[in-house]
Amino acid sequence: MISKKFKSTLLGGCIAVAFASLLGGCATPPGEDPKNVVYNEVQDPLEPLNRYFFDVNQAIDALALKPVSHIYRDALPEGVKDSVSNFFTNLSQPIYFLNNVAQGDLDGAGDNMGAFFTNTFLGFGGLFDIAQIDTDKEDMGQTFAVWGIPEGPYLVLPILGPNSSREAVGLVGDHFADPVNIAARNSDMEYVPLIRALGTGIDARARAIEPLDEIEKNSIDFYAAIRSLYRQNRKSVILDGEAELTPLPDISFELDDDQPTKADSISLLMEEDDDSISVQKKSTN
Amino acid sequence: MKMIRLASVALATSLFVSPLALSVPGVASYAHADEQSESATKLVDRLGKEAVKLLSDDSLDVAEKRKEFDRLLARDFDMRLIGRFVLGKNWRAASKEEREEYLTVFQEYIVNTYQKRIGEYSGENLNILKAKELNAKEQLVNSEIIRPNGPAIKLDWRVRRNKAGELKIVDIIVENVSMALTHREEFASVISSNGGKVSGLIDKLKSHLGDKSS
Repeated sequence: MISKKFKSTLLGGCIAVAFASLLGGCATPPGEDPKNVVYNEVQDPLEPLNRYFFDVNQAIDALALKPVSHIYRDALPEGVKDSVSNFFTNLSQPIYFLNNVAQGDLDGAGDNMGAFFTNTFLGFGGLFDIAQIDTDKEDMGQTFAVWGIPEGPYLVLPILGPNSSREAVGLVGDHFADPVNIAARNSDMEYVPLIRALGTGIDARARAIEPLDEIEKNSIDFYAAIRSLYRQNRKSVILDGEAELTPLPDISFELDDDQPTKADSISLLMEEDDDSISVQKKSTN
Repeated sequence: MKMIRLASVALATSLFVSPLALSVPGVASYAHADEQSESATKLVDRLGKEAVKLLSDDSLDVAEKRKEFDRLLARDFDMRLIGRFVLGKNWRAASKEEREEYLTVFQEYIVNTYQKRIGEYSGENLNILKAKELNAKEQLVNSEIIRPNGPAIKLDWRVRRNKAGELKIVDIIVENVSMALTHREEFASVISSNGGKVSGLIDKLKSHLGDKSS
């Protein structure tokens, strides 16, 4: 049953990708509507399998990624690492641009284009961030979210790590739609996407060595902690970190209460004790 | 690619580990000039200032700093309410004894988790941006940590007026990631893997604390 449901979600995503490429410019995306992006209780029907791959990924990380990242971080001077970061970010600007267009964020798309051309030509192929434009990472998962596609079950992929079904489909879509990857394939440089992914991964991992260690040490269920952090962060990036839309948790006690109340989920979110409920109930009546 | 996103959360979260390691410049701008948000801002501002004074005070040893840290935590945070929120729906299922025991262990766990970075203060600055009203009881104070190296980190404080009329911090939100919610989902997972028993969570927290002290 579960796998069937999951397959249909995946299928739905694939169809969406196909449509997206067909429709192209004709589609009018609804833009970032916070109402589309609700933080729901976690949906993790594949938890046993996810936990298995989570452990596998942890092992791979401990054996390969983390040691390499350590060496990378300690051996190279700060300037070189910044350039590596800049270079990979610059390579991603074209796909960010496409996603921003698809999301209807034309200002964002303009920034991507400006940063890409400035840094490519004046910043020695993107090694230096001359443009100094703050561009957000925009992936296809975010684009789907903006279009109102639900996130689907949580998914831990081998090597790629935490995802939702929607994001996993987006990942595949991004890989094939990425202009840099397409250019590389067309010039018989199939290894480019792989090197790019490795480089980006090591660069990012190197910056997160202590933080991740810290989370692992302090958590009593590392898997659940990462799942929560991932999902909250996703919600935030989908909303492009809008300050006014600080996504407060809208799950609350009354979901599970014997007597459900409504219309005051935020105020009840941090209820002090049982009698405060009755007081507030009276006031809303 | 995945790792980048993860990394940004992770980075932000680790900085939360020293939420009090901040210095507060005197200037604070208020979006809402009303009394409520002003006093909420003042609370965060005062906490930040005192924390910096504490952390940069070389005449205190680590044990003394920890004691002071405990005092600030007890004064400005509503630990009972946070503990209860974090337990979520399982609060209802817990017996009275379990609730009390859980709250005690939870507080210890939080102190243990966030105390470790005491002494790692490296000149971060807390810049308070504004406060906004969430509802009749709650305010959200927006601030950012200005770091000597690296980009600023967004930090929001959820402040609530309790029944006694005192303002208390009930959640810290780092780069839009709520710490209370993260703990809540983590704890829910532990409880469900222990057959829905709150006692399973309490045991897990205790053994976690035991590992740390040994």
